[in-house]
Amino acid sequence: MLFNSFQFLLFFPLVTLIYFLLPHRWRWLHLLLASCIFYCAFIPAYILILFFTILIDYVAGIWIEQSEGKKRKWMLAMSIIANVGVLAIFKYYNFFIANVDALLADLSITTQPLPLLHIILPIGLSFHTFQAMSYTIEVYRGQQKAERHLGIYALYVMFYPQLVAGPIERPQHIIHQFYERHRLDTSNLVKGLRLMLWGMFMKVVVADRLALYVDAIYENVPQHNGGSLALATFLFAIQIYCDFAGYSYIAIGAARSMGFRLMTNFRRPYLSTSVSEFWTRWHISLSSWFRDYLYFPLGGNRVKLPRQLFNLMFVFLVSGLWHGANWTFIIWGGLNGLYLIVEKVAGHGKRESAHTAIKWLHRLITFSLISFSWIFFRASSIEEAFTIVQKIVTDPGMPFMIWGTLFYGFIAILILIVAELKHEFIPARMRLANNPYIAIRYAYYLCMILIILLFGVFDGGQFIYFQF
Amino acid sequence: MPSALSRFIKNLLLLLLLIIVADYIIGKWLEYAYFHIQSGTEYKTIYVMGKAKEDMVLLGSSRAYHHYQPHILENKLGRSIYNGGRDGAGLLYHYAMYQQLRKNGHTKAILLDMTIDELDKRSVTYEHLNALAPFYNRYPEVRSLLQLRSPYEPIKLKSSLYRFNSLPFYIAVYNRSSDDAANKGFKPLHNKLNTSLGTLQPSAYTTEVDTVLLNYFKQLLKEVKNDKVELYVCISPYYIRIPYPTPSMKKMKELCLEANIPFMDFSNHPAFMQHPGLFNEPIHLNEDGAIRYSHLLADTLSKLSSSQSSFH
Repeated sequence: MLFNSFQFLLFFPLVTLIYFLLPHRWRWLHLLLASCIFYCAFIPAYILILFFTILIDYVAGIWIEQSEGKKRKWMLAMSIIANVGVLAIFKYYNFFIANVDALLADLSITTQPLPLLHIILPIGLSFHTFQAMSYTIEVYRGQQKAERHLGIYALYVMFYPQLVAGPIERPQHIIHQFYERHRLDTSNLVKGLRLMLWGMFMKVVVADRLALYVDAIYENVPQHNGGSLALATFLFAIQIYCDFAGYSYIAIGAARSMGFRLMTNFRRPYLSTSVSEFWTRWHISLSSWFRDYLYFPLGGNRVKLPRQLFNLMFVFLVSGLWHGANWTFIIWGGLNGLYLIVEKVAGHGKRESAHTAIKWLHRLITFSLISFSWIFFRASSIEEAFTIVQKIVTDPGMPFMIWGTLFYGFIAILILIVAELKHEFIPARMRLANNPYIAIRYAYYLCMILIILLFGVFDGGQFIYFQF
Repeated sequence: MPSALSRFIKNLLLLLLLIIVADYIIGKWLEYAYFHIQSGTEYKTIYVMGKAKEDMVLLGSSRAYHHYQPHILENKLGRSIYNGGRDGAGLLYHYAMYQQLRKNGHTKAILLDMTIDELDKRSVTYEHLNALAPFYNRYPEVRSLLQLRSPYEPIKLKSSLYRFNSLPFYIAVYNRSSDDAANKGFKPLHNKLNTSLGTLQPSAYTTEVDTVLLNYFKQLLKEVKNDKVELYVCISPYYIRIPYPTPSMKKMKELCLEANIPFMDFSNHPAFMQHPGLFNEPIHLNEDGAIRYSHLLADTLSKLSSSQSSFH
């Protein structure tokens, strides 16, 4: 079920209302069933994959806790292999086979082509797999007790607000919340609904509007000049942010309405003054996952500089691969790794610049570098990505104009920029959503709802990150 | 009930009331402004549905909009003609237009420009129906079509703002008349196809024909027969050679033949195919192409009416 669908408009209040009407002992079951319904709205059969990994990790968690010595390590390895194995089959098998075939062809080795799997990637597979893996790793590390209640553990993986696109939670942060007795708290409800309203604005008014232009250009690259491609790339940078952050706000808001606190996933990333800062503000739940479970175990910053640089690049290449089974994502990851390496070697960020103008210049450079990397993320192939880069450099010209779309898009971007700047620099001033005066608060709510109804794109389809 | 909760519910109801009132007031104003648009795409829909008095109306997508020069056709056929083509429009939109045209009773002939994949199963088929949303209250005939978008559509369409979603820009820009009126709905394109793009390959055509679209096409053929309105089904030229026959084309041709309705296929016509000077881009003719095509079509229609026989 999509957050921006009419079904969700019925589903959310109903699930929230029933949650509070039920006695505490039945609430986990209600949320679990609601999460199953939510997931089954996509491809129902794929819920069996979820059940499979849930059972494996549930048992693994208990065994890890009960075992000692090498056996614990083996149990953890088995659990990780099972999780990564599911990911490998559904997400990476075809990519691997296609590359092996291409390599054999390049080496003039003629063999029977290996069979490809004709399956659709289960929605949100990478997200819930990573969330499940963080559980067994934390149990292994002794940071989390193995969960004995299978229903609660299943809910940890399947909790509907964050099931298909995160935030990727840690067990220490969320599992205990399923045991808490949440009372109907209007301040949570209001905060949750506010977050959902803002998330919906980001998704349907900004992201899906910009997608109309971006798709028109990126799906017809040969027919557009560098001006159009540069504009589409800039707009894609905003689109993907609003699409994913919008989703995260709705997820966090939906959970908050029932009293659950999910981790922050975005903190105005395009106001970062360096790429390393950007990665502390963008998709925080995934960045911190890679930091905690890959970068630190590889040695983190405690090893010598060349090894640190290798670790950085390795983590970002894996992060690229996590996003998709395509070389474009790997290059996207590699580019970001390269940016961080350059910043690290140059010592960027060690000295805080006091000059506002310099900071803004850094913001502009960071945004440009990140936007450049998005070309590889959005392009359908490496060849297409390089064509786009080449055209932007060598074939400038007036961008192709879709006036209505661009007009609405730029107005929406303007609202977004004002909101981001306000929250970044003067969070306590010019409050609208939480203004002490009810008239201002309600004027804000009303305006946002009317803007969504009048300017939202309701055929925009699913969230970009669902495919991962 | 705790006081905080009752206050929350009261406030929520107040907000809901405010939304309903604002939706109604702004919606009324938008409705008034929308139906006073003087030019542009939206005006064409308003015109075809409520104002067209021409003998012949052309219906179709952007390909109809940019391919048929009404003055050329009028001069050769001796009939008044309006080009009602609209960007992104599909068969269901054309069907809605015909429902209003038959009700108004002025139109004697319809020229329906179809694409080679017109009946294919595609999600955009139903998305494009949003062009009919402003007419939901005014013309009951469009309601059943809009419901094809989703079962929840009738509920969503209760909101006036939703009906006029994304339209304020067009209302503001097109509130005065333009060349469209003089061109009788036709808009020429002025680029020449860039041949440096390399060999253009036709995109893959799905093999599945949408049964809903198929039924509406059959219904349309039946209704024009009953209404004694002439119908000409046409596929205008493409730059790329089309891999014959696409399932949609096969079906359209078969049904037209059955109903004894002229089906004219110019998609691979040698006077246009692979002639970059006549195309704006591979899908649309430019002005030179549209003029040449309109002459060709007018001649064909003249011969057809004199021979009174169907052909393809």
